[in-house]
Amino acid sequence: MSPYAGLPSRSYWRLGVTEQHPTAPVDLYRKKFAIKPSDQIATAGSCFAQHIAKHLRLHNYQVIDKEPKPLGLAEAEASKYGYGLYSARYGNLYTTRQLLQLTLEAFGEFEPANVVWTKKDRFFDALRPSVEPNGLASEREVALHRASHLRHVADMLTSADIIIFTLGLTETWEHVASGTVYPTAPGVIAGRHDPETVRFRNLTHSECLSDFLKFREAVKQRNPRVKFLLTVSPVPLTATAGGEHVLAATLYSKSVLRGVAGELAQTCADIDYFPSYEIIASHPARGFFYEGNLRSVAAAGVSVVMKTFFEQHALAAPKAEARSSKPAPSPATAAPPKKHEELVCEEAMLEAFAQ
Amino acid sequence: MKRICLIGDSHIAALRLGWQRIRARYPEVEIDFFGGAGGKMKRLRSDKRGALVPASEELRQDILLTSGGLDRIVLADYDAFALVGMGFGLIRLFHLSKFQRTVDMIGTVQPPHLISTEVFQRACMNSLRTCRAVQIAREIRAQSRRPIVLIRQPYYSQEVLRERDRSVWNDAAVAGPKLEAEMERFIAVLEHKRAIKVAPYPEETRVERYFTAPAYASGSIRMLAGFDTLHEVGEYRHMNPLFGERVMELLLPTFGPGFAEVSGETPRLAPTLEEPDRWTSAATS
Repeated sequence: MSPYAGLPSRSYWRLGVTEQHPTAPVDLYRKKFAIKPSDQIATAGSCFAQHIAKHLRLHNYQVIDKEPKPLGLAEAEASKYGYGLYSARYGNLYTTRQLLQLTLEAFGEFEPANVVWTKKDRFFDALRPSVEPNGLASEREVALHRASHLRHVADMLTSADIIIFTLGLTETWEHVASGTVYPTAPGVIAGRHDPETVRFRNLTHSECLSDFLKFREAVKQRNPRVKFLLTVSPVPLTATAGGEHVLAATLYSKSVLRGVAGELAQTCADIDYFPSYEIIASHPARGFFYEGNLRSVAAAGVSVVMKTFFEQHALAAPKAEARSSKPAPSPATAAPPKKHEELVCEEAMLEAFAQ
Repeated sequence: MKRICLIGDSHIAALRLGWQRIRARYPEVEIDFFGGAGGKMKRLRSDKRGALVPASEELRQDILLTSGGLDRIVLADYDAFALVGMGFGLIRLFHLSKFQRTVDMIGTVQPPHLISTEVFQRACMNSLRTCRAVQIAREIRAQSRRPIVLIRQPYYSQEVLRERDRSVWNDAAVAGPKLEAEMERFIAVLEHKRAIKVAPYPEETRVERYFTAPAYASGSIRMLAGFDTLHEVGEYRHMNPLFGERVMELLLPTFGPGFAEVSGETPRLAPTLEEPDRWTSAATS
């Protein structure tokens, strides 16, 4: 009797992949724990995570929004200022180090260095420079906004039942003296690059793993019931400053993150892994789910990812009508098909530096 | 004879009663009032054939009541248009500031959210642009070159300071100047791009800059049949007929010389807006 005998179709490549269509993967994902209709969900991560937050909202999940769009601001404008992308206005958290750093800072256990970058006469929060694309009027204003933001982040972390985090990159830019990491290199959105002060850093598997475990511990100390759902972004690096070819650098980054996510999901009962990376980026999809630049994920790809997710995490009932007078959108009508869903992604700005 | 169409929400009651007090001084002016209480004016639609018509029976009944029997607004019948309330005014921006303020608008209470000046400005502009008064004014402008004047929603009476959640009003003096600046910026754009004017506000009715004095607030009348039902005690949103009178006195000269009082007195407003050519030239630009 072989241990492979009697295994389900999903265990065999021919049955689980070759004979399946990439737009309709069967039994690819089995949830580790259920997400209840009442669960408060926090989302964070790299650009791709914006799709997840958006689609969860459209499907009536209770996605936390601690820093909602200001009254009066048009929807189309709001995302340009970081509103509605995630559960608070932290912008893209590409790395586990960013996630850990933000969490510890929100809990008063870390003080980042070199927080304010400038561009002409405007001041930027170096840890989330894209949320105010034109900066603020003074260093003091940046500090006040950051303090307010951190209160909301702490509130989010302590009130979430589920935190969905999309791991995006291992490459980051680090303040040499303090270890503070930034989502972009100085000089991309604001600031000035000084190699003596800020250096390139490519996080290793053990560092990413350790970062996430520390993050988990910090949150669980204050919010013991919280669970985590990890995904890996299938979006390749726009550019690498590490010296390797960008394809090799991308594969390194994604392999590390996939390994970290896998290890966390295998070893922690409260951490699930959802294979969005596999759906989009693995070779059975033949690149169909990417746009012509082989980087941006097409709406069709996002649709397959979310369909696969909702097959396991379908809500038993739509959001209570009392919460909204609008009818709950059905999956068929919730997301009007677009060729490409707009994301706010400062990493993509690196393209402008290509010769 | 000049015919004016005055469209509004429940604030129209004060203006209608105020007009009754002074109409004898304006024998050459006739005004039709079209009111829809609450948010009912959201259901006023253009029929694309030169009329604004109610798209709900509730609104139709309100319009019948306030106009004295008309149930549609035929734009060609009027020489000028005025719109009151319907979200247009500083009050709307004060409500925005309840939840979100810039660092220089923080008063006695920390707002739930700090926002940048840039975001704040965009929110204010969009909020005013999408208010029902401006939307209707734009619909009229699309079909008529006649003068259009907006009348700001009145400042709340000081009674509002008795409200349980009054933080925004306690801090009115802190946030107000910045809100006023945004309001003026919007008005300038509206005038320049749409040739839609805004009537001067009756300054004598204001106290502590952002509230209405009790003399102009107490005794406000509800927009109900008979126009003789008082609002409940503690009402702070609506003003009385004396306030309406002051508003109407300022409104009419805003349209131009043909709408002025026939008493030999000089109209209160400087004649800077009395340039008929500007209405049409800007409207078509």
